[in-house]
Amino acid sequence: MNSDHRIFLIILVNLVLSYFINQVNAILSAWSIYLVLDSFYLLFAGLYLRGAAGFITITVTAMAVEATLPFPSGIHLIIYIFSFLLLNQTRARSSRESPYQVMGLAFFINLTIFLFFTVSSGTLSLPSPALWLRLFSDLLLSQIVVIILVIPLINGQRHLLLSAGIDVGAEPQSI
Amino acid sequence: MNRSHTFIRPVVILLVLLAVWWIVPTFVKSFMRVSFFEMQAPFWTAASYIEDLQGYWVIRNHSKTELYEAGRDLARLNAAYQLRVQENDELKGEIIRLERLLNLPSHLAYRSEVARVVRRDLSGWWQQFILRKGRNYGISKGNAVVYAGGVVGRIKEVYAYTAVVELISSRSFRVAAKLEGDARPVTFQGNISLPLEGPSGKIVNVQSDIEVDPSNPRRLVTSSLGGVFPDGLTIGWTNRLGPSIDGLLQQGSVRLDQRLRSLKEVAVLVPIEETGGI
Repeated sequence: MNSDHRIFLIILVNLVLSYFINQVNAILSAWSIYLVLDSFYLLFAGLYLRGAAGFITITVTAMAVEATLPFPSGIHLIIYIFSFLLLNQTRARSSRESPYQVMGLAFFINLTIFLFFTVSSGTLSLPSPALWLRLFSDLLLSQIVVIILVIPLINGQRHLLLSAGIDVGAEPQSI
Repeated sequence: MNRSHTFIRPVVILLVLLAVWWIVPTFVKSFMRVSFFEMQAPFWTAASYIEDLQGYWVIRNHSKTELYEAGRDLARLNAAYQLRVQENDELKGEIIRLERLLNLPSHLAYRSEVARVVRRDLSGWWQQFILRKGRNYGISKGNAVVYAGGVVGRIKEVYAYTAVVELISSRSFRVAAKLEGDARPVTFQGNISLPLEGPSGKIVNVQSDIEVDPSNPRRLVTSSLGGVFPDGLTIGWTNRLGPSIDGLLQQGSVRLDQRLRSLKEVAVLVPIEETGGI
């Protein structure tokens, strides 16, 4: 099933997701809030795709997301691939059918990505209490949104692939 | 053995990828970055046009009375601005005459290029907009960006049909400024905005004899010394100054206009020399 090229629908889903996340952030900017929800791009690929399909999905998504942001080149690629490989490793040790384990993975991945971005953005060279408060509030809200929406999002992507005739849930979980 | 292979393999893959990314030439990375940006730009632009169309149909559904009242208010505002334009023309003529008399260099003239905002990224790490115009309209890196309330920021990157603006509320933004009524230059830089608070910045290198009344904030305006912004554009308001770290000068906080966060249209000031006098 993973060799079916329609799996690249997930790349399209990630790009659409990126657009909607940006629209939400544009609305929240009026209240100085910014949500980092990058784990949404990675969870499905990490838990259900394998081999070249997952790798290509993550690579294209990382390069598309990074192109618009003023991060050093390659940052998204490195952290996304690292997270994808981490998710692949946890497959044998967790159940992707268990919503609590999936939420836990999403929480941890999103936290790792947020901390990685904070360190690589260079903002820590000029720390201030206002910076910590702003980053903490953004992180807290992002993690809450991740926990609430990760399960419906993954189920939605599974149903999308099912409607295209691909049942990724029927494949063995381990690599 | 199999379990150790399973553990080591992803680490090896990651290290190989890091090595490949390290070796890849910079122009390849830049080319890929620009390519992915330009591939997505048409979708943002299309979404922006759809929003404009939505706005048009919303306005069309207003009653004639509402439209008449809005038109009347705008006509009054236009009349006031036309008077100011006439005064400005007189003042510009006077400046040109004095420049010739005193043999002074001319001020830089600008062409306004109005552009719609298609994307906003206002995080704690950076603050930027993406505009719907780029090199195709003569916009270049470093051009000033303004709006009705004053300064928006500076063009940071330019692509074929889009441009990225770094906002004045971004921590890495700095510009030469001065307090209204005082010609001595100070430095403005963007600052972190706390949740639910408006955009803000700070001024540094303020002379120790300058005073600000907390109940009557002083306007901070741009200085032409920076070479990017024309003189006198509003940046924000400051109502508090305190001693700087070295104790010789002062520094303070600057409150920026709330509208900065929700701008839909801005003007890029393109120097007329760059456009060959167009």
